[in-house]
Amino acid sequence: MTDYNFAYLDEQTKRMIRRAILKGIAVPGYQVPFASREMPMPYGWGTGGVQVTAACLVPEDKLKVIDQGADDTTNAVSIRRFFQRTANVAVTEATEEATVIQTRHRIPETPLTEGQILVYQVPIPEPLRFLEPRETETRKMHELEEYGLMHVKLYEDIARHGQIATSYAYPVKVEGRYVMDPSPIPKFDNPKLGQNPAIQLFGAGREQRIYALPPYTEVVSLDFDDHPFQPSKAAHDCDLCGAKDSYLDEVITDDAGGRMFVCSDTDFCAGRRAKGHTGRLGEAA
Amino acid sequence: MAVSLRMDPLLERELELAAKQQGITKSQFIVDAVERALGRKDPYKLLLEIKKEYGLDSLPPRRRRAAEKPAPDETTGDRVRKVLRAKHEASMRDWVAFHVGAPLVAAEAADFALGTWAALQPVTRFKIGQPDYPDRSATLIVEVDRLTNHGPALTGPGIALATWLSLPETAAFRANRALFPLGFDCLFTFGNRLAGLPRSTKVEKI
Repeated sequence: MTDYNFAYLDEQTKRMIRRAILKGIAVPGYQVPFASREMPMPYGWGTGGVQVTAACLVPEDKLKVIDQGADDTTNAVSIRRFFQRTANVAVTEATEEATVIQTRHRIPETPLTEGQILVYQVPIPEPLRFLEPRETETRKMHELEEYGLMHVKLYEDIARHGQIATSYAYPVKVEGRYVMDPSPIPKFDNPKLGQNPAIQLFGAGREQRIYALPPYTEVVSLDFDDHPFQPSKAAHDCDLCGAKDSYLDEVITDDAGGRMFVCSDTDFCAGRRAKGHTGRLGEAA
Repeated sequence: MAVSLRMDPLLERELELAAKQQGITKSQFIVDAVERALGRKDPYKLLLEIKKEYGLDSLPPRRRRAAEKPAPDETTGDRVRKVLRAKHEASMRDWVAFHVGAPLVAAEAADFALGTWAALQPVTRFKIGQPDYPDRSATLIVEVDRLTNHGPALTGPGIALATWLSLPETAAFRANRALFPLGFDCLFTFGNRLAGLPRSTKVEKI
């Protein structure tokens, strides 16, 4: 056993976070203020997500942590170790085995199922913050459902670039009421937000906000009739597993312009290769 | 006045044990016994004392006829219930104060309310949040005597297509849904079963 309370936070703090989560689920897309604690990691490294995960974990859980889709990057490895040490929970890299998945900036490619919880790390929870810096004003805008400014921003994108140039943290409207920042996931992932069987929880530690999407919630990416929302990805197949429909990272391989595209979801890519799929540069497993 | 007594060791031992059991000294025990023997402790007086303690001393006087039992009228039941409820509430208060550390407040100021659906009426008095802070609303924890997936149809966030729940009524929940994003949230409990009904759920009679 460890010398920490289960999952690091004290029980009263976890209860406080759970109360915020329940209110967040009751009002999908609304940012519930909560008394965020200092965590043993810097702001920007997922302090909000870690607190939400800590409040949700039970000893029987199986935890998966991903960072930009990868299980083996610094942020993912350190948060996974943190919970192994403080909560002694089982961990996994397989999406379908996990009961709680903490994610930074991706939704796993493998479809989620009922009973799973997806916890997002959120840097700026307020979708209107870069358009209106005052909290008093953005709060009023949410109260009055006054989202014209966001549409102006998307329109200006079209006027300037000929298309909506927002490619990540693409704003969505939840259940026809609140405009929500889905955290900096690529807009490729936006269609997975709505009608998802898993519970999706969003934690912003520095900004002290928690918001939630219950399972099977209606989530619509903002767009215009003549410029409909289009999820986008690099026009390639994965060079390792050959997947045509997964979100890809571009990797520079040499100084002579060599590059390759690989699935950003490492578990998805490894799973496909284990099943014998190979891409342009991949070797059969 | 001090009196010294002589008794056989076995009796003294018994006296010691009995006194210890009641949590009083041996001499107190002896004084009590003497008082009883001399008729100082009248059982009727004891009864009156208890009645006074529980606020029952103003009961209508017992009828003299032996065949007729004292008829407890409506006020008796009410008074007994009131006393019991006050005692129950006091112990609830102590329990909540000790285990939860939460202050007990009026319905209009409560973050959480606990009770049966009938006891929580009228539910319109509970907090529904503010337009800019819809989370500042009450959560009602409702004890029900059955909880099954039969009854009004539920749709909304968290429900794939539709589900059913044995709700005590529909009108209150429809009115609550109309306030969205304001409104109270409910948790129904029955034994080890639990069902949540957030304000976002549409309730329809079937």
